[in-house]
Amino acid sequence: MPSADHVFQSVVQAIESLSGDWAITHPLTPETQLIGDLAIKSLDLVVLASSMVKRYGPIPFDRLYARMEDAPPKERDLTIAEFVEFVRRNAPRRTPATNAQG
Amino acid sequence: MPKAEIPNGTALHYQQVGAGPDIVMVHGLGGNLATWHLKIAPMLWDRYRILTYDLRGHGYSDLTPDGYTCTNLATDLKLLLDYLGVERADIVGHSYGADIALYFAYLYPERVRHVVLIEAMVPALVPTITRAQFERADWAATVLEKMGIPIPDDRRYDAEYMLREVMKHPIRWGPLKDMPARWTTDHMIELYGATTILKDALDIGALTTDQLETIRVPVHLVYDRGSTLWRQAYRHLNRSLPNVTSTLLPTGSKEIAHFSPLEKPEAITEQILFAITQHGKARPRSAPAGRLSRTTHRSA
Repeated sequence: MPSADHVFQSVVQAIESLSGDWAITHPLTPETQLIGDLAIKSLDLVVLASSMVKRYGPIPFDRLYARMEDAPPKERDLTIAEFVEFVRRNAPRRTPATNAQG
Repeated sequence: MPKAEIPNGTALHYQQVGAGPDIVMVHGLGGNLATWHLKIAPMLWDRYRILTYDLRGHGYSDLTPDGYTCTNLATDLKLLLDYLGVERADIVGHSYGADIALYFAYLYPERVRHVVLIEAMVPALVPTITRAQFERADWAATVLEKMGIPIPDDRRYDAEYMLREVMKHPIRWGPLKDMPARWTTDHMIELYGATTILKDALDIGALTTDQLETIRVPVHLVYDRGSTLWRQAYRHLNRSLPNVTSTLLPTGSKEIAHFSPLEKPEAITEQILFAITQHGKARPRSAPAGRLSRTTHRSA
C-alpha cells in the first residue's frame, strides 16, 4: 500500500498539472475540499483519477463516484485526504508495469 | 494534462489508461471523455488500454471555428492514434461519436479491429428522419422534455434557448449528480453558436448510403429500444452493413433513451466485451447475458 504522504504528493502534483485548464486558486492541503474549495467538475475528477491509475495501477474509481452520488447534494464533497485514502486502500499492492502514456 | 497537438494544428486532450489491447472510446456532441470514465473505463482498464479523448470543441480540447464533420473528426482520431503510436484498436462510439467511429472504419479500415456503435445516426441517414426536423433541432426539444426540461412551442427550434435551459438544470449523471451544472454555458454557446458544428454534423462526405455495404470490419450496433429517432438508423445500418451484429437494449421507465453509456454502463460494457471478444465466434443470441431484448447476426 503506498504511503499517505506519497499519494498526497502525487495528488498535489496531478492537480497542479491540471491547473492550466482547471482554474485553481485555493491552497492544496489534506483538508482542501474538491467541490467546495476547488470547484471540481466531473471531467477534472476523472482526469485526476486517471493520473492515479497511471501511477498506482487499476483503482475502482467508479465506486468512489457512486459513493459521492449517494450523498445528499448539499452535503456532498470530498477532501484531498479522503481522496488520498481511497487511492491508498484500493491501489493494487504492487504497482504494475503499465504501457499507459500521457 | 496530456494533450496531443496533431498535425492539423489542433490540440486534443486525451487520457490513456490501463494495459492490454487498445480500445478507443469516442463521446458524442456536447459531451466529453468523462462519459466513459464514470463507470465503463474502470470496468475495463485492468485488461485493456483505454484511450478516451475530448473531440475538438469539447472538454479541454481546442475549440476551432470549423472542422466538425465526421470526416474531419475521423481524421483527427487517425492523427491522434498516429501521435500515440496506436496501430490498430477496437473503436467504441456513442451518438455522434459512433458516427465518427463508423467513418473511421470506412476511411481507415486497417486501423480497426471491431467497431461498437452505440446509437449512431450517420449523416447519410438523416434524410430518413426528415432533414428539416433534424436541422431545426426539434429532436433536441423532444429529448429535453424527456429529461424534465419543458420547451415551449415557440422555442423548439431555438438551439441557444435550449442550451441555456440545459445549463440551468442540475447535472444528471456522475459524482456531481443533482448539483448545479458548473460547465460554462459560454463555452457551449460558443461551440454551437459560433462554429460550424451544427451544419458540419449533417455533412455526408464520402459515406453515402450505398457505401455502407463496403465497410467490411465487424460492427456491433447497440441501441435503446426506447430511442425512437435513432432506431430508424439502427434498422438501416442493420440491413446495410455486411458484417454486423446488433442488440436492442430495454429502456427502463426512469431512463432517458439514447444515453445508455450513462444510464446503463454495465450493459454497455457487456456489449463492448461481446463485440470485441465474440464477434464472429458465437451467435449473439446465446453470447451476452439475458438482458438483451433482441439480437441479430449477419456476419459476412
